[in-house]
Amino acid sequence: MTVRINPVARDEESAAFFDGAAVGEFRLLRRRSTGEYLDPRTVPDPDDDLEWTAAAGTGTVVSWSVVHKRARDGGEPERVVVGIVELAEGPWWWCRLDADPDADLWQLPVRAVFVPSGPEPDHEKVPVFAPAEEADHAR
Amino acid sequence: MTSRRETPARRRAAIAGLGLTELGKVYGPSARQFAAQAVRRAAADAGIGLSDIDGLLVSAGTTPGVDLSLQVDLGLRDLRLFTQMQAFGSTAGAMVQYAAMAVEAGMADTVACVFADAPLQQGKATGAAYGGRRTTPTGWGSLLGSSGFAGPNSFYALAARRHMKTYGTTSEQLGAIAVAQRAWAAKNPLAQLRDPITLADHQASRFIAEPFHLLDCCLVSNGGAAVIVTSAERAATMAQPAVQVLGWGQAHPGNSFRRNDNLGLVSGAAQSGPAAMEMAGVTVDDIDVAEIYDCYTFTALLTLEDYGFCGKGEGGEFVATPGMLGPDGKLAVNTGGGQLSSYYLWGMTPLSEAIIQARGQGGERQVPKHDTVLVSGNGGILDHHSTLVLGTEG
Repeated sequence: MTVRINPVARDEESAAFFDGAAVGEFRLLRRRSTGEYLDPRTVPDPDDDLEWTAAAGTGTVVSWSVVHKRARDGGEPERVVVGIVELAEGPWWWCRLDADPDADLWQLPVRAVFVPSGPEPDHEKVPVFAPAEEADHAR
Repeated sequence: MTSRRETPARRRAAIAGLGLTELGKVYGPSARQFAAQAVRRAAADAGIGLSDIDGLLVSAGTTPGVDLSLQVDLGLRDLRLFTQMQAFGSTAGAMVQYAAMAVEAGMADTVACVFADAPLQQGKATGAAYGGRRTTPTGWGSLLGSSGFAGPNSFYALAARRHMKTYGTTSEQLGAIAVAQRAWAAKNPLAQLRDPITLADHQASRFIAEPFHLLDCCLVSNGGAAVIVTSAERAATMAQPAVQVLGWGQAHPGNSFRRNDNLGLVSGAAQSGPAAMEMAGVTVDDIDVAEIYDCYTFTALLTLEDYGFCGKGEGGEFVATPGMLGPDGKLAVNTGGGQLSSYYLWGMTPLSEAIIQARGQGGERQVPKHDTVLVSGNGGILDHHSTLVLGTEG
């Protein structure tokens, strides 16, 4: 794994999501009554009947950008690929893409891989999406 | 919707004053000081005293301190309308709308609307202006930054890329906007960047967040701007040519970014633009000057499409049509250079240039026919939109 994610720690709202990430699950919220999948960041209405559920962890790229981070020493900038993935269940997820910055990623099938965001025990694993074929190969 | 015909002409709202502070890399005054200076200058421009102001709408950028303390800073007594507003880049247009409604309803007679910001600090890189805030890398709020996103630059880049892939829009077409606006800025003494650029310069400028080059992105500026809104009847007795507020609209589509929506394809401009033009009784064919919010080249392109200057998806071809944009072009768009080349004061950038043009005070950059002027405001990541139609004929 070549991508580097900066440290992320959990809080109360994100705990269940990061519990999933730690065991390789991309978790979404689902409304029990309708089966509708919701973004994990959804602020629940107290009257709602939401439950955490493991998503497939697959999707397609809706859009992407290559962010150029200037090097401190004035050298070549680091090129960081970020994008929007439409998950198989419907929701969109904005994330790091482990993909060729020069490739056309439009509608590319991708799969989540879970990357440690830092060395400390409270540094959570974070989902990064990689081309599905490569990610399958690496499993 | 208010029909203009139902409002007696004398009570219709008009913009009677414009105050601009020094703009750009101006160090020393705080945003709060810029705000007060802008209001004083707007009142002076209108030829009225501060004590004539009985309404005040305040809006802050990224710098704290531009708030309700402004009343005491200015020594304003017995205001009948006073609040702080926030709808990001759509705020300036929205302030004029609320001020106009207050004037037409008789709630206040003379309303000052002000915005000020001072993100630039001497000795620090422009790029650091909005990057100084560090949040604890905890929870949802930390995920985007930790994953490599770089704020609005990357968010708008994603929107632009989606438009490009969906409709075939190209980077060179976006560049046509940057080049045309710089040509306008060369004629604008208020503009921060006045050296002409070519499409090759645009393409060669470093990437910020692909597909955006540096020359696709707006400036960062310190400064403040204020306008005075009053009745057309009262405005006629003041110092400047009155600029009537003929129509307005807002749209807040509520895109969540969490599910398929119109991000990058259609913005709120598609609703607020037609609403404002209908209220004013005009169509895009009647627009003499268009001052379009341009935090990025792409924002201007999408807004022109959504307002109906061209068909959906045809914006790239439209702006790159030879002879369309720029000082000698068919369509007078962002005649001061816009946020890309003149100065970046959120929605006050298009609004201030619209007032200057409507009054016929644009000097070397003045558009000959300037009776009907369209102004757009855009905020968030294409989340909030305001539109004004201004005119010099009631």
